[in-house]
Amino acid sequence: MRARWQWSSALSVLLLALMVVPLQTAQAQPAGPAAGRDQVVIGMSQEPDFLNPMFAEMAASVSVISTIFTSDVQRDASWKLFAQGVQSLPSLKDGTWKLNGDKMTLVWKIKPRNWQDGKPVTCSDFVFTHNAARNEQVPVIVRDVTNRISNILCTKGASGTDITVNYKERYAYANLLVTEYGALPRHALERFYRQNPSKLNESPFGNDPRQTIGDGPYKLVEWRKGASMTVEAVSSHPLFGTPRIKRITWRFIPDTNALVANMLSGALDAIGTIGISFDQAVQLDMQARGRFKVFFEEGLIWEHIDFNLDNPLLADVRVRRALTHAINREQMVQQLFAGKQPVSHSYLPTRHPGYTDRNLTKYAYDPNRAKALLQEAGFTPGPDGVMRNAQGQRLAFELNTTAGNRVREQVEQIIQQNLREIGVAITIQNYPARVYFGEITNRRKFPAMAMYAWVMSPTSDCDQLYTSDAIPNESNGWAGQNYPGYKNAELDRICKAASQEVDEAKRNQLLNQSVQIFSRDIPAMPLYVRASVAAAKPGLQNFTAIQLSGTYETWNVHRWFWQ
Amino acid sequence: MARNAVSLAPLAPAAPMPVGEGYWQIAWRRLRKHHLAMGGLLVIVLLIASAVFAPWVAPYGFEQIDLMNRFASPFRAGHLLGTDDLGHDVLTRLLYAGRVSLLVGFAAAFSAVALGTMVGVVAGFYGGVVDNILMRLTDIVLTLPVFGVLLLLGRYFGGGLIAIIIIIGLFGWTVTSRLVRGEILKLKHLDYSDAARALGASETRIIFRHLLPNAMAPIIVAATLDVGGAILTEAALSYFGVGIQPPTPSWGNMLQNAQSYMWTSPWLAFWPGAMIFLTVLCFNFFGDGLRDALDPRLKQ
Amino acid sequence: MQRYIFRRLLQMIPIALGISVLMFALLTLAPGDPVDLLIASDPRVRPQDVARLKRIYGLDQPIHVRYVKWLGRTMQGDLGFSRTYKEPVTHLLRDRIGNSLWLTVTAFFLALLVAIPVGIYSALRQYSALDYAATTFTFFGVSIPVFWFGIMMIYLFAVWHPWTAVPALAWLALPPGGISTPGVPDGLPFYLDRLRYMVLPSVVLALLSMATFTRYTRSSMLEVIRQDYVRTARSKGLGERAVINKHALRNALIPLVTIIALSISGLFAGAPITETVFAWPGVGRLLVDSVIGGDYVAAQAVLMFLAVLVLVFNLVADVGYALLDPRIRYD
Repeated sequence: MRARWQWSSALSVLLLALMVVPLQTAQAQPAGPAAGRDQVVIGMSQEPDFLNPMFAEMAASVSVISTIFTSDVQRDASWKLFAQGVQSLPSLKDGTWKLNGDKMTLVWKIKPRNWQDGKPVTCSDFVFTHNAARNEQVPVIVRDVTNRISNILCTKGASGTDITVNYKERYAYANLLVTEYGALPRHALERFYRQNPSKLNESPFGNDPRQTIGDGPYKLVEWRKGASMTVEAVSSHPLFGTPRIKRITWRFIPDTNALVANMLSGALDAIGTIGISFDQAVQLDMQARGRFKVFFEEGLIWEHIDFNLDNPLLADVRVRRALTHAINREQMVQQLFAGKQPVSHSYLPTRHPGYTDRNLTKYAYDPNRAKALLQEAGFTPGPDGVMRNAQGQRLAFELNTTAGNRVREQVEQIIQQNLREIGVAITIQNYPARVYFGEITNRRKFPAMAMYAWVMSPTSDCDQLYTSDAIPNESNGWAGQNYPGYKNAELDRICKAASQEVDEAKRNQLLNQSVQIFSRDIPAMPLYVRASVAAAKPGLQNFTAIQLSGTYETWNVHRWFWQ
Repeated sequence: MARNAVSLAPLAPAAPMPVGEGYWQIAWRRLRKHHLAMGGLLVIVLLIASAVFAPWVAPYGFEQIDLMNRFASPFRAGHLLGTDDLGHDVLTRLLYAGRVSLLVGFAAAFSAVALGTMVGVVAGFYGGVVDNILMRLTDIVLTLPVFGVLLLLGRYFGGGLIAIIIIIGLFGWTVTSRLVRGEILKLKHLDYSDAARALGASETRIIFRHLLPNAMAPIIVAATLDVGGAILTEAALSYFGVGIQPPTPSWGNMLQNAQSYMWTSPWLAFWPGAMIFLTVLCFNFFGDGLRDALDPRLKQ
Repeated sequence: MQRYIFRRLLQMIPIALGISVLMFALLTLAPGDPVDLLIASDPRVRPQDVARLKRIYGLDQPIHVRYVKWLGRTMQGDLGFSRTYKEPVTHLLRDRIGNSLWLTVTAFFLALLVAIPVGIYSALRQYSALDYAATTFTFFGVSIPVFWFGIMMIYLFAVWHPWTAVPALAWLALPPGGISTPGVPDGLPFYLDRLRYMVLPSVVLALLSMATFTRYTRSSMLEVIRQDYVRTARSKGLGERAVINKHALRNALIPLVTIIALSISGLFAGAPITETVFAWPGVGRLLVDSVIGGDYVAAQAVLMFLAVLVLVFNLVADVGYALLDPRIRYD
């Protein structure tokens, strides 16, 4: 008996001692490259799905694809557009973008370059890819632009570099891409397309390194499923020259803690924007001690809470305003996010070109103002401390979000505590993402408040998002994303006009108005704008934490080098 | 678990009916001598008490957040075990989480054992086709990759306390049902049940007055060990994010949450895991002692 | 014996079918198909896109039709295409089983290597200090939450590891997860590298089996040495070593075979937690990811694989028991 107790208590004491002693991990690691001065090893938490741009759903794929393929038009670190694979962007001024009633025509000329097997990139590659995307049998997901295009013409022959794209309707962002999926090598892909269009995504192109032929600065040389992927620089590319980094290897480490550990141990040169969570980045930053830099870049992901406007209590704008005034978003952002994910004030993130600070209604933390607003709306404290109106309706709301998202769960608890202080009771009910987005939000089944994020892009506007024709209901097959059920005729008009306005300045003016109207009515409570995070050793130059739809840290990969 | 069946199989065939008080008294006397079991029992009682009296024992409110005081180290600044990512007092959270974890443990074990006993009694007592169907069903459930199915169910129906209890209970009954069936098969042909039948006792009476009480010992042992098992299962489900959902604290979800902060605040992961470990260990100590004490083959 | 095996194999079919129906129903009837979720994640996806994709993937058909089609394809060895991993499930499963075997086999032998000697020794020296230590260890082993044990190991060996200040112990800074360092050349360096990655997860995975095996070996040995034939052998004047080796050990190990065979499938099934904690791309992790990520096709395949594994090893256990124990006859 005695032996047994000694043994177990010794073990417990040991374990306790190990845990409680403050930790000292400060091991100086060399900050040099992990695999040589002409190589970069990047950690990612996701593995790409397909490297065929038509089927790449995951951010990880898009990030790798931009090293293998050339984009028609790309954005730089300050989000400015520049022509990458084309000679120039069509514009109304020089007549390369012509409006013809509701229809329009864009004239493109591509920069001459070859596929990695030596064949030239031609107009017929664009036509082939566009036709494949149009085919009902091909499991391409998004056909938003494809459906707007009526036809593509090769004005200087199929093997030429001149392309004319005719649109059936006005589309404000038509100068951002030649066609939705650009050019894919017809000679490499057509065979599989003819065989079985519905399994085009499973074909070796985009899966097998030997058969995945791109036209970018790097070419795929190895893909070890579940482990890593390697690309090698193409020398003297007509567009990119000869990159100084010869090899880039992505390691797929799905466990983000392991990703952090690998960064700490020096085995990785960088963690891409598809890597660690914001929380982990903050922690990593604390441990960096000059061994690496952690990047935080404010992006276009907008966290907010939709109010269900069919809820009679929330239909009153004074109640919505009171709730927003009662939440100390500034303190939340400072304490939880070290100020790196700023408070948002309207539906468009601050860095969106359509955002404006002018005439915006902002709701600073002011519990007294909140209480006054509630009183004005007819609410007085009840015996249980919860506000109620003359009909005895209590200000008690359910707050929903996705289960398992730690940051959202933290924010929920802060909101719960803040609102308790003005006499509003919040019960928290979270759902797994697939139930939440598959049943609750998209069918407007949330009784009061639903927290989630919209992933915006520089081309996002309010059409379909807050227009009254986009309120999901039984009769429209639950289409549309106006989950709050917001109806405002003026906003409807502005949003529709903005989505069809091809003049950028005029479009931004319209969007400015929409932002102002939204902030006045707050059909949804803006919370904060998420930041993308990445990390890299200080010696790696020109690495950024950019994360926009279609543009990731690899946008300028051919300009990276070690110092 | 299979071992229970083996060591408990030849149980009390000669015991007089109904079970006399003597049997339980002897068992208690034996149990008292089992130091590990008594130690386990003591800790379990303490844990239950601290969970029940959490509102009075806990130094802070369990929903009280303090954004200015996040990640406080243990033994400092008025927080014995430190604070978590929202500035919750960890000790307070542990106490309240104990309520949830223990409740899930007891309720899930109870429902599993009750279901198992029911299936076992029906199968053993009626035999024939009923027995065959029930035992095939048991086979199927035993063959299921239980962990995957639990995850699956947790994913769709999880989150709530009741749902988790039902899900865990639904897959924990098979061992008990086989055990009880074996007991019933043995007991139903013994003299006293024949005698009872001859005296015209109803089926229900035979089952509840004669068979069940005699099969009680292995059921109790199984139930005790199942509590620990259910606590572990809940913790595992919570670890994968399909168990009890925050803000309701459970040891499992505290641990899952703490994992992200392991590099800078490792104690956050240490405490909840240690509580699970301690609790399960004590239930196993106690269950093991109970088995020895209730086994009539062992003479002191 | 052959007839017995054949009959058992036949009996497996309805059980496997029953399980497959159950799994299929659970997986397909759940809300929120991955295709539906596309709409929520990308505002450019329209309802007509969702309808088109469902038609391509055959998701617009009623569930029984889909089940029959699934069954037909599975019979031909086509487990479908995983829409999360973008790979045929057969490839996926093959790779994952390979990875899992590294861990499972190591853990299994590690467990046996410790459990059998310790179990025997503690039975022979009942109530000795080592027996108490071993018994306590078995309790610890079955009570410790695997994920917590794993996390603590990661913390000790991959995060904190103060002992690495001693140069001779530097290699004890182990990787916190993953399966290998990319770029390590094939051959010996690859295996040495793999070994470093395997230390923590295989120890963690082995712990539970180690504890159970020790317990069984001990109690089985205790039972055997009380038996008449052992006493007889002893009274014949045979040396203690001979008695143990020739008579006791062999008989004590027979019931262990059952436990071991049963636990092989258990090791696979127990690996999800270990594999997740250590980011080991094995079957268990695939199970967790596919179930939580809603990848029906992969989830169905993994669940069926595990169920069939249990069925097969149940049979192996029974057959092994019969072969070793001449008292048991099947027909």
